[in-house]
Amino acid sequence: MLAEAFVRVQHLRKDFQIRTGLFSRAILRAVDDVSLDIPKGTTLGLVGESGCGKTTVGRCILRLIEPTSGQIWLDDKEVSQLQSDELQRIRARMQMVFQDPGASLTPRMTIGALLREPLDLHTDLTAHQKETRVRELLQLVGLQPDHLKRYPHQVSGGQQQRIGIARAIATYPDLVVLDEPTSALDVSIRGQILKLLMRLQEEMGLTYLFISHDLSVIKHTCEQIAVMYLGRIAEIGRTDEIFNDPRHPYTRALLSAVPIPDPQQRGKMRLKLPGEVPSAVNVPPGCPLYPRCPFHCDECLEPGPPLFPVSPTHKVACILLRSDHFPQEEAEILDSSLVANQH
Amino acid sequence: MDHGNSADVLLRVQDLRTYFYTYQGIVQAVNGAAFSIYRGEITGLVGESGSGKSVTALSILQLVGPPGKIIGGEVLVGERNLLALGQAEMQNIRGREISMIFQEPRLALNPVFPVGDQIARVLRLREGISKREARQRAIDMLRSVEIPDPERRVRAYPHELSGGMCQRVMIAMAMGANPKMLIADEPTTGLDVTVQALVLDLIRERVRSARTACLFITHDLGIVAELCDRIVIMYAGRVVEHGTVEDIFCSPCHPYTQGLIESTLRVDIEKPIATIPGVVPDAIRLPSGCAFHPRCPFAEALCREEEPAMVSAGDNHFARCHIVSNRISKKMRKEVWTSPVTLEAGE
Amino acid sequence: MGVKYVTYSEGTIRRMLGGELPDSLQRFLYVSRRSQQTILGLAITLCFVFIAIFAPFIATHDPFATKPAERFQPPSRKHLMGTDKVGWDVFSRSIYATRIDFSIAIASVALAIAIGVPLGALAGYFSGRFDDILMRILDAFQAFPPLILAMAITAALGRSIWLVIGVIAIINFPGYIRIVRAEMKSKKESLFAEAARSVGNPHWRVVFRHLVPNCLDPVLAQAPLNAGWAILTTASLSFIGLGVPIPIPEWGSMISDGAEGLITGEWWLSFFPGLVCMLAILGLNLLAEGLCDVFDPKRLER
Repeated sequence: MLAEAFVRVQHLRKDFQIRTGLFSRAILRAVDDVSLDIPKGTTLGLVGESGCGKTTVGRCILRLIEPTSGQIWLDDKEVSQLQSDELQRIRARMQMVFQDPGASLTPRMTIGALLREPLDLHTDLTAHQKETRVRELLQLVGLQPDHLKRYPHQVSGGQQQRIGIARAIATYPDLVVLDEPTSALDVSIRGQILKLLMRLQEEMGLTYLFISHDLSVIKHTCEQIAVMYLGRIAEIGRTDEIFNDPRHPYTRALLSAVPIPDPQQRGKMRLKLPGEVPSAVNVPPGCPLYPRCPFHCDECLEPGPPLFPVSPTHKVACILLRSDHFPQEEAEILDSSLVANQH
Repeated sequence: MDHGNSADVLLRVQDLRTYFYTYQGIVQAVNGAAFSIYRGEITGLVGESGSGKSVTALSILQLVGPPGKIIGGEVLVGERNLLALGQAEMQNIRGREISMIFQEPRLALNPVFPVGDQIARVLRLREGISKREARQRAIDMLRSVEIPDPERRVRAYPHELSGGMCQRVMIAMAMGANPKMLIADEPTTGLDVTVQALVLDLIRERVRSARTACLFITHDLGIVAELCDRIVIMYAGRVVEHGTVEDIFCSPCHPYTQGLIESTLRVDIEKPIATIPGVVPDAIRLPSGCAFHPRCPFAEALCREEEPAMVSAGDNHFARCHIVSNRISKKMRKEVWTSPVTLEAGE
Repeated sequence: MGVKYVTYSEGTIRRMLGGELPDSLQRFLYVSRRSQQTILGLAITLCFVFIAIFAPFIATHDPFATKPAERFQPPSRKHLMGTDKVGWDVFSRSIYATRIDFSIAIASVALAIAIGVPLGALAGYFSGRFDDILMRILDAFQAFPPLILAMAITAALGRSIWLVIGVIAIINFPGYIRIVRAEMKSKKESLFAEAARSVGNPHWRVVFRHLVPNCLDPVLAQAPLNAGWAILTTASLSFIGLGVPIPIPEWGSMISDGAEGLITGEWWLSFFPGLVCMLAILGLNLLAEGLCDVFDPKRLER
C-alpha cells in the first residue's frame, strides 16, 4: 500500500455460533474475509456502524477472540497460530485501549498496581526500575505521581483513559489497537486524548488500528481508512480518497448522514439508506448492502462482490465500479425518494 | 431576565436549583438555570457531562427522585408554576401537555409487553377509548412514524425491534396526545449515524407539522446546527449562553461555547485538533466565581472572585461572562484552543 | 460496665486518617449516620468483641472455680447474675462464653469463606463440567436441614470446639460458593477482565487478582449474618448436649443447665445467658443490615 506493511491481516474470518431457538443454531458471520495492511508508524481507521464487525477484527488481531480462519502478521511473526508461551510473549508487542475507560480498569486495584502489572508480566525489571518506569509512564500521558495511590473511580473519564493508554504502552508495544478510545469522553476533552495518541505515535513509532464509528475523528487521525459493513470491507483507501471521492454507496450514505456543526449547511442533499442494519445471521450471498442500496440491481446478488481498484490505494467492493456507469450525481439515482433534502 | 417576545414564550425556567444529597456530599446538579422555550421552535439544550442538562429536563416534569431534590426556582407555563403542582396534577401534564422521550428507547419500554399493547394502554388511560379502537390507533401511530408493516410490528416485543425502531415507537407515544412541548433527552445518542439521521428527520417533521415546541438535549453540536432554532448552553449547572443558532455559531460570546465549537471535529473540513484544557469540575466542590475559570484561557483574577451575571450580547443573545459585560478587557480568539498550553499573555 | 458512645464527624475522621477516605468507608459512615440500627448493631458487636478480648479483666470470678457453698444464689452485688448449681458465677461464665461463641463464629465463617470463595470463583469463571458437578453436589448438600446435619455429625463424632467450628463451616460454605459464583459469572464478561487478559494475564491471575476482589462485596455483607447464625447453632447444639463440652462456658449449655430452674424459681440461670446470647446475635444481624446498605448503593436511595 503506502509502504511496506508492518501489520498484515489476510482473509480474516470469525464465525459465532448462536442459538436461534430451543433446538436450532445458526452461524453469525461477524467478520467475513477481511484483509488489511498497516505500514509501520501509521494509523488505519476501521469505520462502520453497529454490527459491522470492526470491534471483532480488533479483538481477533490481539487474539482476545480466536479467529475462525485467516492469518495475522505482526512484522515478521505470524500471530494467528501462536500458542501459550509464545502468545504470552507477543502480547507485550500488541496492546489495546478500550472504549469505556472506567470499565476497563479493575475497580479494586490502585492505578500504580495497574500500571505495574504489564511490567511484572513481561519484563525482568527490579522493583525499583518498575517504580521509575511507572512514574515515567504517568508523565508521558500527562498525569501526576500522586495519582499512583488512587483508585480508578476517583479520577475523571479523561484521566482514566490516559491511564488506559499508559498501561497499553508500558511494554513499548509495536501495535496498539484503539477501540473507540474517545467515544465515551466529552467532546471538549476528546482533543486532549487524540493529541496525546498522536504525540505518542510519533515519539514511540507506534502503529495504530483506530476503530471508531465517528468519521470526524477518523478524518483527523488516520492515514488510511477501511469502511466495514456486515463483516465485510466495503471500501478501503487513503483518507483523502475516502473523504473526497467516496465510491461505495454505503460510504456515501455514511458521510452524508453525519451532521455538520454549521447552520449554514442546513438543507444539504443527503443519501438516505432506508431500513436498518440487518442481522449478520445467515447472510445471503451477494452484496450485503443489497436490500438497502439505492443503486441495487440484479447483478448485486451474485456472490462477492470483490474489491475493485479505483487507484492503487483505493478499492471498492461494489460491482457498479466494474462498468463505468456509476451515477455520480444524486439526480441520477433510480429511486428519488431515497434522497433527502432537509429543511 | 430573558427579553424575547413574551407572547411566543411557552415555558420559562427561572432560577432552577436541583441538588442531589449523596454520601459524598451535595451535588449541585442544577444551580440557577434560566431560559425560555418558544412555541413552535426547537430549542437545543447543549452541555457535556456534569452540565445538568438532563436533570434540568427531569426537573421540569418533576421526575427527579431521591436523593435528588428540586430546592428552588420556577417553571412557568403562562401563569402556572409547574414546580408548585402536586403529583396528581403533574400526572395530567406528563404525556399530555408535555411529553418526553429518553436516551435508551429499549430500556424505556416494558420488555414483557408487545409495543402495541403499551401504546394502546397509554391511549386508553389518556382518552378512555375502547381496546379495539386503541389497537387501531396504535397501528396508525406506528405508520405515522414510518415503521414498515405496522400491523405486524404492533405485536412485536421491544427486544425484537432495533434501537431506531424503538425510538420511533417512543416518538409515536409521545406525540400521540399532541403535546404542547416535547422534551427529547439525547434520543439519538447510541444510535447508528444513518439511523440517527432518519430519526432526526422524523422528529423535525412531526414537531414542525404540529407546531409543538421542542427542547432537544444533546452534546452534539452537529445535531444542534441541523435541527435547532435556538440554543441554550449549560456548564456546571448554569446556563452560560443562549441565543439563536446562527448567532451562537457565528459569534459565540462565552469562551466555553467557543471552545466547544472549536473542539468539535467535522467531516467536511480538516482543521487542527482543538481541545478545552482541564476537566469538568466536581459538582460537589465547584470553583469559586465563574465555574469555568480554571479552564478558561482568557480568565483573570476577577473571574475567580466574582461570578459573572447574564448580560445581553446582542439581539436576544445572552452570555454569562465578564468579557461580555466589559469587566475585563481580554478578547476571545479562536486560535488559543488549538494550543491551549501556549497562550500569549495580555491582548 | 458502661460503654462510652462517641460520634466523630466525617471531617474529623478524615483528618485523623490523613486524607481521603476509601469509598466503602465513606459510604459506611453515611449509612451509619442515617440508620440508627446500623450504629446500634456496630456498637453492640464492638462491645462484645471488647468483652471477648478483655474477659479476664471484666469477669468478677473465675469461671471454672466451683464453690458448692454458694450455689443457687440469686443476683446480688457479689454475683451480678447469681450462681448456678455448682457455684459458678453466672456473670463471669457469660463473659467467658462470649470468647467461646465469638471465636467459633469468626473461625467457622472464616473457614467457610476460605473454602467457598476459591471454589465459587473457579466454578463461575470456567463453567463447564466442573461447575455442573459442583452445583449438583451442593444441591445435595443443601437439601439437608442445616441444624439436623450439624446434630448428626456432632452426635456421631463427639463434642469438641474444633468439631463445632468444622461443622458450621461445612454447612455454610455452599452459600459462599453460590454467591461468588454468581458474581463471577456476571463480572467475567466485564471490560476490565478483558483488559486484564489483553495486558497478558494468564487466567488464574485474572481470576484471583482482578475478579475475586471485586466479587467480595456480597460475601462481606453476608458474613456477619452468618456469624449470628453460627452463634445460634453453637448454642443450639450445646443446648441439646452436642456442641461444646461441659466445663467450657457456653451460652447454650448454660441455658440448658438452668432450664429446670425456670420452674423451680431459679430464673437467673437461663435468663441471663439467654439475654446475652440474644443481644449478640441481634447486634450482628443489625450490622449485617447496615453492610448490605453499604454494598448495594441502590438501597440507600429511599
